[in-house]
Amino acid sequence: MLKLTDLRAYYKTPKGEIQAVDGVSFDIRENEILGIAGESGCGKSTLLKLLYGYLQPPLRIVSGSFEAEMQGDGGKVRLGIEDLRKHWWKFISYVPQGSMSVLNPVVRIENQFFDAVPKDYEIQDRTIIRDRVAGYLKELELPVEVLKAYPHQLSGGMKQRILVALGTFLHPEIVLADEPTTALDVVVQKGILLMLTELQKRMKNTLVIVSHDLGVHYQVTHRLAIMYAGKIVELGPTEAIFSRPLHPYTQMLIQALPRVGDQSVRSGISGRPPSLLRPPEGCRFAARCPFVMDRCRTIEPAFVEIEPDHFVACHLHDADIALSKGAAL
Amino acid sequence: MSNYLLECRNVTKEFRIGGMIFGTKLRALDNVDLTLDKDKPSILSVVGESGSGKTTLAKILLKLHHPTSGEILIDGKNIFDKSSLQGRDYYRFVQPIFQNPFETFSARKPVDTYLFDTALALGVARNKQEARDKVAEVLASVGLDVNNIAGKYPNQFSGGELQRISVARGLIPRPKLIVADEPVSMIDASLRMNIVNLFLELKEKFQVSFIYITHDLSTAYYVSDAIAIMYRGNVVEQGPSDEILTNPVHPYTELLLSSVPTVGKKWVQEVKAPEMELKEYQAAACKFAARCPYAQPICRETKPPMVTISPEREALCYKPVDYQPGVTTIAPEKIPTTP
Repeated sequence: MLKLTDLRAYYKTPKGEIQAVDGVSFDIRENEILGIAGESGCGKSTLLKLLYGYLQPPLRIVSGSFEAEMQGDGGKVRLGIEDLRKHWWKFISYVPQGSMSVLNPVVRIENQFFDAVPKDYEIQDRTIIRDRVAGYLKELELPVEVLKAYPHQLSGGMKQRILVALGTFLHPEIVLADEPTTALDVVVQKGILLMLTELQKRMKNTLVIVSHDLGVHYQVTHRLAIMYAGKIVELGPTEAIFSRPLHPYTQMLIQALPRVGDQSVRSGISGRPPSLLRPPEGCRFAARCPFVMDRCRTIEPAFVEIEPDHFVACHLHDADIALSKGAAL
Repeated sequence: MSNYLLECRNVTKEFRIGGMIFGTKLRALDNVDLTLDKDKPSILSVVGESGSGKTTLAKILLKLHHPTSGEILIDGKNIFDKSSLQGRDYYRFVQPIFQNPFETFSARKPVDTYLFDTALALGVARNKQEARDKVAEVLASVGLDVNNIAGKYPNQFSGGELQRISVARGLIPRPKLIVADEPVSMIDASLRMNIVNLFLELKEKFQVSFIYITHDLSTAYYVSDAIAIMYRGNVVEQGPSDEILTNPVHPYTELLLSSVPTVGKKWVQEVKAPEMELKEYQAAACKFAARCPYAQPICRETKPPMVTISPEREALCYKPVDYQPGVTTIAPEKIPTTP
């Protein structure tokens, strides 16, 4: 539905260009939940902005291509990144982090729903929209009274549910969720994630979830992309990524997760990601990688398919290295 | 002198909400009993969701709030009495680490000024030269080099590094107790373990005890010796963390455990999410009864007793005593065994 080919998008600053998304290629398919994981500052929020077509200076696309395919009245319609904005809410919608005060504090919840309905939507009558919204909230098992409430009267979990309801009300084909459960308690988090997956199952649309919590990705996503310093370093079916992580960064991320009932010593990843202002040559993870080789510091690894649908960008999987490793084993 | 480093006895804190006359009381802490051993340093995790009273507890321990009733003893002395440690002597004993490292430090001051100020204000160093040595020493103990820190502003560090500096600041007076309120919740999952491992290391190295306040059960399990689960102001279950998290007795602990997104174990059942209900705080009986799958009529009528599960472990629940009022010890055949 969305296809990115070698997309590069930089922020222009007085000090130079921040290469927040640098050569990302992947596609988003129909009826799937795609997860994007990575630490803060790795470019995952910028990538989400691009997917949403929210291009504003200083962010600009330097190179690469972006294609979207929308189900129109007469078959599929092709869209470029600049056309996406016209189809917000209907084709693609965005569920922001609820703890970031994204709901207008002086507007009642129901009016925020009215604001979300595009001007060219087939229904413009407010009473009909209000009934529809109330019906939709009931479907989601949310209390209808919240429509009359102001955002500050709602708990964090309820605000996040309202944001999910707002983002999915017009049944968009793609829903983008940016850290939908960060800063919420575990019980509330589970409720919201199950609500999102339930909706996805019902509407058979596409859900993209950004989170730095790998546990969340394991629970809900079908495919997972691991981002590091502006690049996707690994992409594949979630099950495969957790059972056979190919990139050392992914392996370290999974190893760092503590588990109840497992007392073995776990270590975090030492060091810090490189500056995106002047990223190093070669592999960007080289400085923190335990398996670093000479070529890692000079040649950038290609993003290749190792197993069906499972991609990685790492020299450890170069043909000659993999061969010698296999021989050593 | 007592055998406990810290003892909370029936600590209750009520806040007034609403107007002077028509306002109601919210009981943020309800008869909380907690103890920390003096002989060997330990890490006590206080786990609960928002609104469970865990931050109120931290604030009382830091003397930012007075409890409505009950007492907190440090070395056997009530911290709010005149005979106990006063002013800066108290903060040489107890130090905080806060949740959000980006807000802990002012964006307009170099971060090391906080370390110097702490050293001078608490009387750990008498002059600037001594303060400088002290700062270099504590930064080294959290694995940072003073030359890389001096003169830099908070925006030049990552969250993990700032939190390390925060920990270093807390270590300056060589406290016996550090109260850490959600120290890793703002930090990336990949860097969390670095901070948590630092706590374990400091516990051994400096013989310092921690009160680790969190809602993350997996790091709590990893780091702590003992754990207290809080719900709506009550400690509902407490004891050795290993036993409690592998073999919970209280239904609320079960609910929390089943909600953790663990790799390797998929979620099964649907949960009903809680809403902040004033009614729950004020309930005379069990506050969890409305959400509890095992609730019986008695749970909604009278407050459950603190049931002793094992010498070190207790739970505020009727279920382990078969819903019989007045019984506070569990039948021997029902004592859970760790698998």
